Amino acid sequence: MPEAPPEPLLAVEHLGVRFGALPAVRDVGFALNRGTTLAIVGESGSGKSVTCLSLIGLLPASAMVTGTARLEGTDLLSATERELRRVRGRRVGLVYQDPMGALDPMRTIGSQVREPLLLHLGMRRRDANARAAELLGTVGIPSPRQHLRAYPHELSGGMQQRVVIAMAIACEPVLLLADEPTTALDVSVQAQILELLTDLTERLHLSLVIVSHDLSVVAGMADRILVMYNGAVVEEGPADRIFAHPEHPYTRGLLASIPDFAEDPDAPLTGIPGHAPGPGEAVMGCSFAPRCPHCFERCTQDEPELTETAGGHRAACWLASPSVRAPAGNP
Amino acid sequence: MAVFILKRAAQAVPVLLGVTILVFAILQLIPGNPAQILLLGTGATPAQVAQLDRQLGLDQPVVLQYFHYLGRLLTGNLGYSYVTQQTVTSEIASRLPFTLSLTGAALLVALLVGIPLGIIAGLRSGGLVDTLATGVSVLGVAVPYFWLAILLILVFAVKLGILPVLGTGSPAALVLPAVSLGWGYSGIITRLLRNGLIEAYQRPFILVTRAKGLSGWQLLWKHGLRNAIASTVSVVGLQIGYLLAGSVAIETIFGRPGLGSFLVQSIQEKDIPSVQGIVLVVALVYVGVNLVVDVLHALIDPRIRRAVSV
Ligand SMILES: Nc1ncnc2c1ncn2[C@@H]1O[C@H](COP(=O)(O)OP(=O)(O)OP(=O)(O)O)[C@@H](O)[C@H]1O
Ligand code: SF4
Ligand SMILES: [Mg+2]
Repeated sequence: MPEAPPEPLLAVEHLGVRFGALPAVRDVGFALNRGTTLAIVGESGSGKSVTCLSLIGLLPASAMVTGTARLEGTDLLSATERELRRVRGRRVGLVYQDPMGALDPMRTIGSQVREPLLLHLGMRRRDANARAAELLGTVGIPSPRQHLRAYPHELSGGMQQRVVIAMAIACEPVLLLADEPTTALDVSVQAQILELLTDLTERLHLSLVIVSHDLSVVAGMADRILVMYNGAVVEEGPADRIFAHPEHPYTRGLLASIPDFAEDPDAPLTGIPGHAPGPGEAVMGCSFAPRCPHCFERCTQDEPELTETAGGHRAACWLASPSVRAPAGNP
Repeated sequence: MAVFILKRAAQAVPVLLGVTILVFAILQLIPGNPAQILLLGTGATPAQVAQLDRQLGLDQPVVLQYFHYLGRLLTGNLGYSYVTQQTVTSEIASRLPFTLSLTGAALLVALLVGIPLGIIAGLRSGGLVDTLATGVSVLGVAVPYFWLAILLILVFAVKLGILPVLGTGSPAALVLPAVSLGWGYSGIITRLLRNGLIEAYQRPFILVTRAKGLSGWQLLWKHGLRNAIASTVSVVGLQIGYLLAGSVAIETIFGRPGLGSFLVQSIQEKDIPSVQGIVLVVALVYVGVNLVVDVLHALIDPRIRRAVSV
């Protein structure tokens, strides 16, 4: 099928997650092409981690997940635990926030990096050890052989995160999920880890989903950006378009809270005032309305749907919707 | 590791010294003086009492007496029983095996019951098994040994007649005492292990490790248990005093000639050197067990090894 557009590596449709009666994620959808990077951005509690973890079935048992997420055609959300175990660590790797807690403190770095190799590739111990050392080298850990015998507490946070990345790419997965991989790290180390991730995606032809609450973190690396608010997607599109023409007031707020992007002198530099509705807190209309500087009558009555505004760029805002022209004051 | 063991053993020395001071103080604090107790009912004259005082060194300053006492202890001399005139060391040595076999068997019962219950309760916290295990362990801790012992005797020995009550010969005779003594301790182990597992499973590395594709059992076996045990093993060691204290009641009820019943008997007979000797030996066992437990802890948890050996 030479003419057909390339099938996305991962296609998520109508993903919903609820904990009991409380919805955490509502109708999330996106597509991720091979070798590209998608950034999921939003404030704390917007559902970024839940979205990521639902893909590999690692939410607590109390989570009820609906929708589909096809990885190379197979739906992960309806997969059995046994099937998912062959996906985790083999085809999808996870890099997690809080690197200081992401490794088992009781076991050596070597045994933890060998683990997926023994498990999925059936390597013998010797070969796994050699491969583990190689992996530590790949993620930029000096004297890998020695570090195989080290324990997590003997490494800095940045080094521990490199080990986590080494574990995640050990079996050459097609997809890497990185949930706030740099949040807990020093600024200088943050940049190094982001650079490593960018570098790895290119070298290993990995697709990457990177989660952050900070747009500036993902500015240099994302091909597409998905902005989440209150468990739903409010804007999604190519990264350059989102930075150049953000459609949703929330995205603009996020951009304005990055000093470099603060073009609007009136926008506060310290985030968006107010806070998102709590879980289960019902909001009529647009859930961003209470905090939106452009809120108008319709916003508090009808919920805006995610609508395409221009080539592959979608936003859920009445002002962005091409069918409704904004009243006076539309920026 | 050798450094760790040496350092840890060195820490035990002041504890043991403190114990000797307390044990020595028993002698000073009881009313009347030892010579009077010894010669009680023999119609001894005050002069005879004073002479025995001198013989026993009781006319010397207390501090000096303590150092003499300590010196004797270091040569393994615990004194002579007022009652049997035998060395306290030999009296204790003949009874220690009964206490060690009882506490050992009770520990085995506690581990065999406590570990599986703790694991199931921890993994299925809030579930039916957890509730049951919690109930059983609360009951285990709350019910006094003697009550449980009597209940078990009534059911298994008197009603069903399948297990002996008295006697020390057959292993079967150890079952009821060991279960009576170990039950409460199994409750402690269940609680500690359950909470340790729940706490461990909340840590991010569990999620990251699951994301490598491990099955639930692999995760538990390779990561969960070890972390849970690391956080609970030292408390389990401290609680071993529970078993030692309980053996006093259990040995008396089941008529086992161990240290516990010897202690009760010695107290009743005001056999001070024997009481002192037993308390010392029990303290030594307690300190020794905790030394072993701490070494185990260090073998399990690399952070402990490092913290001490640096
Ligand atoms: N185990 C859980 N039980 C109940 N609710 C949960 C659970 N995990 C997450 N939630 C809820 O789901 C919502 C989304 O949480 P999520 O962790 O995905 O946020 P996030 O965007 O990753 O935030 P952060 O930036 O703080 O990591 C939150 O309202 C949270 O309270
Ligand atoms: S729909 Fe209305 S309230 Fe919601 S973001 Fe757009 S302008 Fe603001
Ligand atoms: Mg999160």
